[in-house]
Amino acid sequence: MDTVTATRSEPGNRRLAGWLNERLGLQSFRYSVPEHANSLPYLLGGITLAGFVILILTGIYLAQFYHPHPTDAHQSVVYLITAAPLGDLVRSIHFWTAQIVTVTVLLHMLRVLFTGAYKRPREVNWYVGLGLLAVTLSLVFTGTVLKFDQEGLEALQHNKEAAELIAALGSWFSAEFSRSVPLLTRLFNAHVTILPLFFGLLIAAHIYLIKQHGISPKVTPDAVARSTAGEGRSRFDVHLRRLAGYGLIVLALALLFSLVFPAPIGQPGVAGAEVTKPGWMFLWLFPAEEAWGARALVIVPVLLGLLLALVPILDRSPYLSPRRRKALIVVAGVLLIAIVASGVTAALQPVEAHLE
Amino acid sequence: MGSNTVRALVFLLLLVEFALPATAALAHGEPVIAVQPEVVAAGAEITVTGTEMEAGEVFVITLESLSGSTPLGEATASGEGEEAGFAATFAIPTDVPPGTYLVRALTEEGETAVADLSITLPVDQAGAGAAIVRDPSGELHQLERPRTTGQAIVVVLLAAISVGLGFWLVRSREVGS
Repeated sequence: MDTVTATRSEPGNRRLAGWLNERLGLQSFRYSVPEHANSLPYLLGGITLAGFVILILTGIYLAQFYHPHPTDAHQSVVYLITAAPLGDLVRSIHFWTAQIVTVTVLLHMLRVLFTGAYKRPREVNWYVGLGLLAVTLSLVFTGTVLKFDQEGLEALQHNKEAAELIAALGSWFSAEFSRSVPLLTRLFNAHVTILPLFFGLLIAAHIYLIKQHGISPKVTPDAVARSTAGEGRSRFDVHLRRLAGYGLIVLALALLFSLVFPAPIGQPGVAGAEVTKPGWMFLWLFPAEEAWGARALVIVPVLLGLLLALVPILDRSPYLSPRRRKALIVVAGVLLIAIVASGVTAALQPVEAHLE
Repeated sequence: MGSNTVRALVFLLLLVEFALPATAALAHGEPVIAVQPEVVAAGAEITVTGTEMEAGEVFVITLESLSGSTPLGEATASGEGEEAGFAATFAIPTDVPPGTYLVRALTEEGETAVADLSITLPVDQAGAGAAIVRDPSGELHQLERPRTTGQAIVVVLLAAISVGLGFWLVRSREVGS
């Protein structure tokens, strides 16, 4: 009788938490994590994941109105903007969240690189992260093509030309691969099924490995790479709260950007014409393409990917401080400056035709 | 268990025995064509590749839509036996309106193969600007994206709630600490 009275006298939120915990085992999220895990630089990966939740929800809505066929795709986007309920706003939130997620995923990778978070025992998670980066950029690329305006069609044509250079590996991008389904439709399938599936598998592996090894230790002059699983004065549920908080701030940013700058849609694509420039995340490749042709679109990203893959193999010292890893930091810094300079050059350059 | 395995293997062998000739027969059945690129500008060229044909067969290539058919030219299959085919280039007339078309290859005997083709405006009509739409009166104008005051208020309100809740979660102290 006393127990029942005590339970009834508990505040509502406590009772709800107790009810949920009993059924869902939420208590297991209250494990220890280091305090620095809750700082913004160490939350960038989680913020990216929160952004993906927004992208999936808005993407499901957009897919109800989008028609993935070369002749109808652009018109269906115009319909979505002009006639679908909240279509323009939802599409703009999708677009701006994708921009923000691309920024946070790149910053997350740079944070991992500069804090040595790829070192033993986290090498495998570095490769999983590279896979996630590739999937994210592929999602951005396919998303750009889907609107099938001039920019989208040009992106597709560049992609097809680059794919021809890698022979059998690029055969998926040819008409012969499937005579019954246009490439645009297959890219839509990739955008909504294949790439999200890869993303799901990779993010599950990423989270599992973070749980196994814990967050990388805080960078101090003498800090060395080691597992921190089960250590720390903070808790994972606090980490999740902050992550959700930043996720809501991302949503707010996407909402405000969507209000002021609606997601762009150009004129219907004209095959063979080159009058646009790619999005900022691919713009840095523009000068390389001008110098070496379509093969630059294959060689440069592959080389950069290989360099990133070599990082844990070349940098095997246990130290995390950038001061004790000067060679790698200098090379990474120079490459980063070169990429940014290439992007700025491309932005200032007039549009050039590259397609053969 | 052992006899079951043998029975399964015999069944698989029989399946292969019967399925393979059927597949081979299908492979030499109807002619097939592919068009590259699958999206092309009016006035540009396409390459039509034909396979599963007999050497010497002449195909008339046409561009078809609901509004009619436009002849593009002819192609003759060459090669050995029923493995013959062709690869021929054809120019799309500049006055073909944008849309979805069928490219059809047809012999005098009535053998036919088709492939989809999407045709866009001619290259010199490409534009980097914002989308242009036709209003009910038939006039063309740039796509407008006005936000009503009501929409703006709702969006700002939602953003403010998101930011407020977000900062509350980010700044909240550890529960129970």
